[in-house]
Amino acid sequence: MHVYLPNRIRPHHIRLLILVVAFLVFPLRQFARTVIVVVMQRISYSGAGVSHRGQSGNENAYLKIHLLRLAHLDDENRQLRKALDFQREKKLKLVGTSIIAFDPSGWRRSVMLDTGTLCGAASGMFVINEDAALVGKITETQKNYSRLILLEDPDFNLQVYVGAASLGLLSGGLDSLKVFYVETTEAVKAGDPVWARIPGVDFNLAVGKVKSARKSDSSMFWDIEVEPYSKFSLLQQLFLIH
Amino acid sequence: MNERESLLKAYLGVSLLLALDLSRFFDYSLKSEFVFLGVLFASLNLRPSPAVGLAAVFGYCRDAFAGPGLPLYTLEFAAIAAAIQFFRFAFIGQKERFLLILAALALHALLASLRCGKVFIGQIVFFLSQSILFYFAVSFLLKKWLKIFPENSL
Repeated sequence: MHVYLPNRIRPHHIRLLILVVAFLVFPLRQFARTVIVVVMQRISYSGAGVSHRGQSGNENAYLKIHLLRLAHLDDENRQLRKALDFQREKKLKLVGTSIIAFDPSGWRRSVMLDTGTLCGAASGMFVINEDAALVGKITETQKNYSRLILLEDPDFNLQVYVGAASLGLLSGGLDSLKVFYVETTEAVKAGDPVWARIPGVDFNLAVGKVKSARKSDSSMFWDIEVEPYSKFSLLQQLFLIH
Repeated sequence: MNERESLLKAYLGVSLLLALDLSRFFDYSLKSEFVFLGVLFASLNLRPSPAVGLAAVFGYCRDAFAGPGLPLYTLEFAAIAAAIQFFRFAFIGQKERFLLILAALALHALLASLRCGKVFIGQIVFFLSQSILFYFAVSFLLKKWLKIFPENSL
């Protein structure tokens, strides 16, 4: 007969148990996130450290990387100029920021930005791209970084207008964006603009356009799918609206 | 290669997979989560304690990006790794092990949907199909790197 005595517990089991309990008990998550974000930040900016080795074998590769960097800088310059014009035109205060890392979960649409409270980021701020299209909303800030939830995130909700002024609730759904509770008697059609009003900002913020709209006889509300104007990439330049 | 060296390589390999998840080189069209595939690989190929430890560490890294509250990914990854360790001696054949991976992926998708509060059928279907394909690629590369033979097994 087998008797399972405590001496069957081996030191590595205890080490493992301590590790899991430590994870559960100590609030180290923010520390872990900061470490990961800093590492990702270093990786993002490490392109600047590419040096010219001078060997003929590496020269082609170096020149190719250099060309890519120049093309990226050119693109960034164009985006910043566009944002500057927009800032002057609308008399806004914009803060430039870029994406450091994406949320690793496929069920979320949130990113980490390299702008934190030190640069004036605050929870609830809206973020736009260089075309002044809404990208998302800041939900959490730390000293050197902040979390932005994108329009498609399942937790993203915003009061928006469809067409002329039909009020509705924009809600993210991973790969789709929908507007709920639009009660207008006028017909909503594909291509109608979807826009939002932000408190303290006196212009309409573009969100996207209607992709499809239908209304059944039994329903009071329209079923509207929206195509957002903003697209995301790690190299994208974004702007916080102060 | 001694065990410590292969464990270190496994951590490095899964860290690279985490970096791949964080950078989203393939945009949101790619639904699979590479770090979870790395955890599955480690659970099937490492000894129980190091495998559960690795799963807990990378679950914690995932929790760092989740909202406040219980570190659910730590618990989920560690529990899945422990369950795979428990079942892997019963499921020796390739087909059985494939089913084990499929069950773990389905459980992960289910828990992610619960956490989200909504069920996205399209997301789940793409996640499962892409993850299975990428698992073979990740497993092949990690086995080659960790010198685990045969390379073409699960």
